[in-house]
Amino acid sequence: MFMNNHELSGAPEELQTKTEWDNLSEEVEFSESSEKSSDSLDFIEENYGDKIDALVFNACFDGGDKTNPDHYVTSTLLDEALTNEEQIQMIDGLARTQKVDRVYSEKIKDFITEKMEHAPSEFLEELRDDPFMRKRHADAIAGRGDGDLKEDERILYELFTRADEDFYESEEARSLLGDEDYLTNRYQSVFNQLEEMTKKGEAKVDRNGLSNNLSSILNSIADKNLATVEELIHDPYLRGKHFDILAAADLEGVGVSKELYDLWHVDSEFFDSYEYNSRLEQRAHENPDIYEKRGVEDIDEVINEALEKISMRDYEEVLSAYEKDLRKGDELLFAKLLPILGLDKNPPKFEYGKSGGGESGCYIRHEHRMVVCEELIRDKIVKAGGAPDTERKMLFGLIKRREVGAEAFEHMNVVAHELWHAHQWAGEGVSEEQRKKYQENFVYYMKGRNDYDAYRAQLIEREAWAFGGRVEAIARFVRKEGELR
Amino acid sequence: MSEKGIIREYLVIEKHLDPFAAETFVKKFLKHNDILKEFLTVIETGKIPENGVKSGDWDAKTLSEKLPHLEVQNVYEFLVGLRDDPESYLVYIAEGAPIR
Repeated sequence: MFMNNHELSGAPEELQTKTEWDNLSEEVEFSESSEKSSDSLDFIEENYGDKIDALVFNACFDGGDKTNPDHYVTSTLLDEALTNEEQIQMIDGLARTQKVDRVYSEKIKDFITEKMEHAPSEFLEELRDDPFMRKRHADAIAGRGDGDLKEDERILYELFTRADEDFYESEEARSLLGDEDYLTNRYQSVFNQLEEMTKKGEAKVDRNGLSNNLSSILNSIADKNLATVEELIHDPYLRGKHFDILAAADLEGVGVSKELYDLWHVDSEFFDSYEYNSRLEQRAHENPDIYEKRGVEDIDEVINEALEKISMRDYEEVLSAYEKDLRKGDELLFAKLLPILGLDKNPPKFEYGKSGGGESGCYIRHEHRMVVCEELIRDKIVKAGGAPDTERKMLFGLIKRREVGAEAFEHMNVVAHELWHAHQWAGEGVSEEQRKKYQENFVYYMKGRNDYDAYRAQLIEREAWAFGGRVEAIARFVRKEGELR
Repeated sequence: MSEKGIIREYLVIEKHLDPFAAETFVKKFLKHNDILKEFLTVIETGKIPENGVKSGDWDAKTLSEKLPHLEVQNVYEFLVGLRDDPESYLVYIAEGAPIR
């Protein structure tokens, strides 16, 4: 729980009346004596230890900086797992024992201790209604009205926007949102960012003060009733919903650019957040045809339809190109697959690059770009005990020929695999129903390093693995046949 | 801190997994206490033990040698997977478990 210093001030108060808290506390026999204090903590640990660990830990990183946890706790998460009585007991145990497990923030301990000492009745009332003081946190942020939120405030703001959306429906929130100065300042910050982008030549500003790109994107979103343009521009509290809007726009085929993701701070870190991954889990549950582990029967038809268009001659030509040079082989395979995959009118960019997370290749949909990580492919083969494909010279060094070995075949697999992703996102000849499934999976995607099995099971990867794998297998067969002749 | 808490904290802080993925990961261990205990040892010592717990013919050491690009948490995911779904995981191992 993040507390600003000014919230810790307040005059001490006497406890005037017996409160419900006290009654409850008596029931569980907490005591302030040092002898019993460890029993209280043990009681908490024994009965709620796992729940607390899971909740506090998860909440700590919900939107927060993972490398410097400052322990944000949301009442929403607690409400789901602990009853009110359990929550009160937990806090009481922490406060009265004054012994806090290292999982819990020192700030929680200090804050609770101070309040229990100086303003116990008021504090207990607040705790019963809202154990983790979410309204006070939102007040601190919303009431500031001084333009761009500082980084820690932005994190906290986003945390509460996500976790407590119904708070913003309340009377209290409405009065805060009515603060014209605050809204104006937030609106101004959107334009500040647009100005920056304009200076860098990344956007053009039209008379209405919006870039051409943003205008058309926002209008598209508004046309599809995902949100009104006014909502998108004027309501800063919509920020917590921005990913949903962008995802919905993507799924509607609106063609949202990376620009808008960047503008609304839906950056790569978001895809490592608790929020994104909990939604992913939910959608996986709702869409078993996309995420459930299954064989290849349901995808055979669509894969084979494409494979049948690649002739033996195509394979032989590609293999000959790989004999000359890895990149020449890649280039030719890429060129041959484009029309087969409905990408000849809209081919993706093809680049070589470094791997970001251990992948041999990748397709970046918002840039319609595929990357082959040739260094990593080579390193993996060597580390696994193999050898990179060798080159030999013939005719007194005038002709160079490469072995078409593990390296070349892996290149073929990766090129075919990533091009299949490009086909799924942007290729022609894909049915509407299928396109929607692909889009859903692109937006809600299981990463390999999080769960390798789930990564392999999802639809877009099952297909790409099948296509790339079969291209490689057929190429190997053709090469073998060639050697036998 | 509980054993699960230690693993969750390691996965998020050291390995930069998101908390939800870390939670899902921990759940996989629930049926395999021996693998969980060994993973805790790895977290503590920073080393994969020789002759550790086995899943079929594989232990963490042989898996990490066969698939050197795998991160340590994925090695232990594979150990669990080889018990819960050996058919799939043996295929992944044979393919070299790449990420494309």
